[in-house]
This record gives sequence, structure tokens and C-alpha cells, in this order.
Amino acid sequence: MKKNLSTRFFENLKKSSLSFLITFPVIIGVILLIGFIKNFVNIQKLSSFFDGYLLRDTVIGSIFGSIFAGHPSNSYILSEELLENNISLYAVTAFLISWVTVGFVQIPAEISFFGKKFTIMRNLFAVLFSIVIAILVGLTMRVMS
Amino acid sequence: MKKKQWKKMKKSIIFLLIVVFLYLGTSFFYSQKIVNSIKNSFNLFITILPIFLIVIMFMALVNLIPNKIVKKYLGKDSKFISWFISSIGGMLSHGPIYSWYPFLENMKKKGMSYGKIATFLYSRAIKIPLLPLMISFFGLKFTIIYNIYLFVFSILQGFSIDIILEKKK
Repeated sequence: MKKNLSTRFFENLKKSSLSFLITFPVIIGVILLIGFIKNFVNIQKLSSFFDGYLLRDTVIGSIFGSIFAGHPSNSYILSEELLENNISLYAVTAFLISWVTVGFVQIPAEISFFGKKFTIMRNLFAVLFSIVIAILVGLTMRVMS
Repeated sequence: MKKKQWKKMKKSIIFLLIVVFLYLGTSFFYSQKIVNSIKNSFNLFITILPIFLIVIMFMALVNLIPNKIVKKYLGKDSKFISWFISSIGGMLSHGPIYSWYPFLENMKKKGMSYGKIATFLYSRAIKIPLLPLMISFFGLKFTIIYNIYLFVFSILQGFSIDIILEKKK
């Protein structure tokens, strides 16, 4: 006998809750890691790591953005600070992009959901693209100004 | 619970235990910072709790859609429009990236390709509710250029991943 829609929905809800519960410890682990990084890494001192070489700074910006996690608005505030400290737009853009597209902290969780191959590939692409997009945005801004 | 689910749960708990040991080990040297880390993590958890509930509901709803429809519109052989569907889905999804992992894992089981998952995850960088804030920080021109490139590259990333991971099958 075919089940009606509401019965199927509640059955699905039970299944979804169970599969969420299974992965819940890994999500709690990621949340704890984010809290840890927030308190143990001094994000304000970022500027001192940039040395004025355009490509190197862009790569550093991308790596920092990949390490830190949090609300995107925090990355806007930090980026504005970096720009005020004369860090190039290329580096700041790479920082902004990798903040939201790459998550080193979330990699264990991502692996548990999608496997190693996909996770490593996706994050590598995201780091690479953050650098490429940063250069493209910087060049486009230059051409348009 | 099935054997596969137990295995996954075990891995999940091991990861959590590693983080707990990191906290315990560090607490001997920096007790105040650890207290602050726990407070920050707790606040973050409370903030994203409603998103978890939305994702569970969403998963239950999506499971009502037959697998062949998901495969047709989001599978590896789906039409070009499917990239836009994945990208717009990513743009509209709120909350932290990891809260959407269970939903996307579920979609993968239903036939969504790895490339579309990557596009969904990448296009989450385009934060529609934060656009006014971004304009106020970086100006209109930068915001437009930045987001156009993100959109294009979200599709490019998904496309590349599908070529590498899905075409072999």
C-alpha cells in the first residue's frame, strides 16, 4: 500500500534526524575548534606577515583566510584594517574569498561527509581560485579606474 | 542503526575526542583562554541551532522528491541550467558551511553530482543579505566585480570537479 505524503514526511524526518545525530559529534568538534582558534590566534597582528610582494602577499592572504573561520562580516572588518595598513587589494581580496570558500578547520567534517578525494580537491581548487579571482578583481578594478 | 552508520558515528566521536583532548591539554597552561573558547563555541552553537533544525526539515522534504528527478536536474549529466540551480541554492543557504553538509550528503545519495555540490558550497561566498554591508566597506564597484567573479568561478569549480571525479565512473 502506498503511504500518504504526511506519513512519508514524518518517516523522512526521523531518518534525517538520525543521520544528523550520527554526524553531530563532528559538527560539535568543528564548533569547538573555531572557538579555540578565535582565542588562541591573534588575527589583529595579521598585517605584520605581509611584505609588499604582490603575489606572495596574495598567497599569504589566501592562506590566512583559509585558516580563520567565522561570520563573513568579521572578514570585512579585518580586510578594511588590512587595507588601511597598506596591504594590497589583491591580498585582501584573496583573504576575503578564502575566508568564505575554504575551511581548514572544517576539513575533518567535510571528509566525513564527502570523502577525502572530494574534500582535498574542493579545498585545493578553492585556495587556487581565491588567488586567481583576487588577481582578476584587482586587474579589473585597475582597468576600470 | 546500520553497521555503516555505526562506523561513521565512531569516526565522528573520535574527532570530537581529539578536540576535547586539545582543550584539556591546553587548559593546564591557558585556563582563561579555554574558558573563553568554550563560551565562544557555546554562543556559536546557540546561534546556529535554528539552522540545524531548518536543514533537518529540508532533508525530510527533499527526500520526498524521487531520486530520478534529482539525478535529472542535479546529476552529472544534467543540463547547463543545473549549474545555476546549484549556485543559486548556495547563495540562498544561510548559516555556516558545515551545517549544510548533512543535506548535501543526502542530495549526493539521491544523485546530485560532486561538481554541483562544489558549486553549491563555493557560491555560498556570495552573501546576498550582506551585500549592503560589503558595499559600505569596499564600495559598489568592488562588490559587483567580486561577486560576478565568484559566481563564474563557482560554476567553473563545479565543472572541473565533475570532469575529474564523475566522468571516470
